[in-house]
Amino acid sequence: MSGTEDTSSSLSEGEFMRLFVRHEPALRAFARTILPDWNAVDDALQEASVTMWEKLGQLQNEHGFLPWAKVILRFKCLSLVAASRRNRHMLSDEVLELLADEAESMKADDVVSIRKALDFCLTKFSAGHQELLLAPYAGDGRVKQLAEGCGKSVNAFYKLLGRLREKLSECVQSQLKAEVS
Amino acid sequence: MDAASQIHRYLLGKLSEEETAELDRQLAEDPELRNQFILAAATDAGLREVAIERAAEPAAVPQANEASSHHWRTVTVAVLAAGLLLAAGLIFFQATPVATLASSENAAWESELPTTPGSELTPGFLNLKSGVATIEFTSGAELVLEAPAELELVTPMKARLLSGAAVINVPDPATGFVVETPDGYAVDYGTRFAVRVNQQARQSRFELIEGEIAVHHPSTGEELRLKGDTKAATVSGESIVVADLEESEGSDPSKENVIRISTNGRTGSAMRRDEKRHKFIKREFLSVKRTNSGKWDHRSFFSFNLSEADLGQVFAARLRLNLVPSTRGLASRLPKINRFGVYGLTNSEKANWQADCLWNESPGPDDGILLGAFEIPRSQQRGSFGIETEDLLKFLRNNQNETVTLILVRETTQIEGIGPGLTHLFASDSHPESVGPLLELTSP
Repeated sequence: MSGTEDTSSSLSEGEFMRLFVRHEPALRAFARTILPDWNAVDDALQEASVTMWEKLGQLQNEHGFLPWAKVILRFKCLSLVAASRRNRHMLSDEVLELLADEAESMKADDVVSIRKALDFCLTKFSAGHQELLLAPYAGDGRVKQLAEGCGKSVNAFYKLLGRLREKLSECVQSQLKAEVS
Repeated sequence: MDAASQIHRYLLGKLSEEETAELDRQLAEDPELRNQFILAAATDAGLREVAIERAAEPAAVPQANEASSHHWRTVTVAVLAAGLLLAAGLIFFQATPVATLASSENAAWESELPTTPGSELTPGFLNLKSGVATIEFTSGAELVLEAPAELELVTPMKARLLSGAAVINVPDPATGFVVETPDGYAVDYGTRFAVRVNQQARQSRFELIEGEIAVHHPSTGEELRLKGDTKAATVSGESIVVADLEESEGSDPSKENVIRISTNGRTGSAMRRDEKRHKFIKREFLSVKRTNSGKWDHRSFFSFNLSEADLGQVFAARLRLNLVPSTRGLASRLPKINRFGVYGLTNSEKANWQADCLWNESPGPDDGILLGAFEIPRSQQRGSFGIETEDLLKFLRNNQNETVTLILVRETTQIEGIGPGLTHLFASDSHPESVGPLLELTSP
């Protein structure tokens, strides 16, 4: 059925696709730990998904999917780091490896919990702050636009954004702790 | 500025070289900070999802309360309290599952309910587009659904089959399990039986496999018990008709002649990023994709030799393409309905295309005329699609005795979202399972 010789896997395309979609948020967050921007993350995921499909025969059952997929994705991300390094200031390879090691142990449920906590925590911000928090994903220039609208410098707005995100992460963290306790 | 805030500025691409080096040094030493980094990256990923979801639903303007940063402490306290409530077992209301999706074989769904095998199903609709799925009700009743079918799960003891076919197996404890159809319903008294709903003919056919069932007619109140010899009943608007199983395995008396022409292996695909084609283009597939930027576009082309066909007699022409599942990209990035265009090549300079030709050498829509279009819902991974148009027939007649090339493109692009959009794949003649493109010419 597939374009490869390996047919030993018991998973069909449909099952693979469902697994991939289900675990995509976790994979995306994992890749984000290593790569410096979302374009690179999207490229890594696209390429890794092709490799996963080709090597699906290695996968014993669907429970093993996420850790297995992370190994493939990690390799893909690290291979893209060098290219990213050319146009970005980036953390060292040693630190990226450490981060990847630790992020590998994150479970699918953790990502779901984080997302839930995030939805809750976001409601605690004013509409304006929510808009700023989401602005970096609306394309280049959205943060600049908002800053200009308020008569502030872009730099000042990025500093504010950094602080808002830190606050958001703190809220998420305390939500997660509360869930565990 | 503190390290945690620097992590976010790093993720936003706003740290200078010196600041990056400083953060690197701190991360190398401090595992707790690394944890914060991982959480920050996950938060960033979540924020991006939220941004995309909100962009997709402009109506859902964030209804923020006006609490700004100085209310932060109260928020944290409230959060902790909520966590404790959860821990104490006060869980929010959730609909009770009535069934479990026990297994699915090549199933493609369009459903508001979860469709992974093992999922618990709450009352709601399941729309099975292809394949076979087994649903186990908590009462013990088991229903095997055959596509295409629509099923509504009502209670552990009741389901509605709106269209399609199902086989129901009812063990003792679930005696009294009810299957409703638009035309009637059956109460199962500990048996196995099959139902098929024919929406067009507005009739439902109940077939007993073993045991006993009662078939009810909703408007006449008629009830028919099926057991022993009487083994099938058809319920329609007026009545219940008891059917003889033997005669009903009807054949379709089609007297028309259909000839099918294949491409004989003459198929090809091209992608705009020619340097990546070794990775994405495979001989077994005709790949088709369109993106907003055009960067990742794929198109396919294939030819048919018409010299054997007597087109003078032909009154209908159909192009048949078999969609096969694709793992290239995500269906969620596609619009719900995807439109495809089929073009007939008229530019003779492109007639001698090679199967592995580069994008610029490959025939495209500009080299031909539009012959027809078809649509595929994003939820669908398999099936036979194609066009049957006057324009196709005319194009074939104009090229009688020649070899014609048809070009397949996706006209619709992707929607705003996360991840690469799906590349649609159709079988070529080299596909191990599905049949490649076929021209079906019908004559009297």
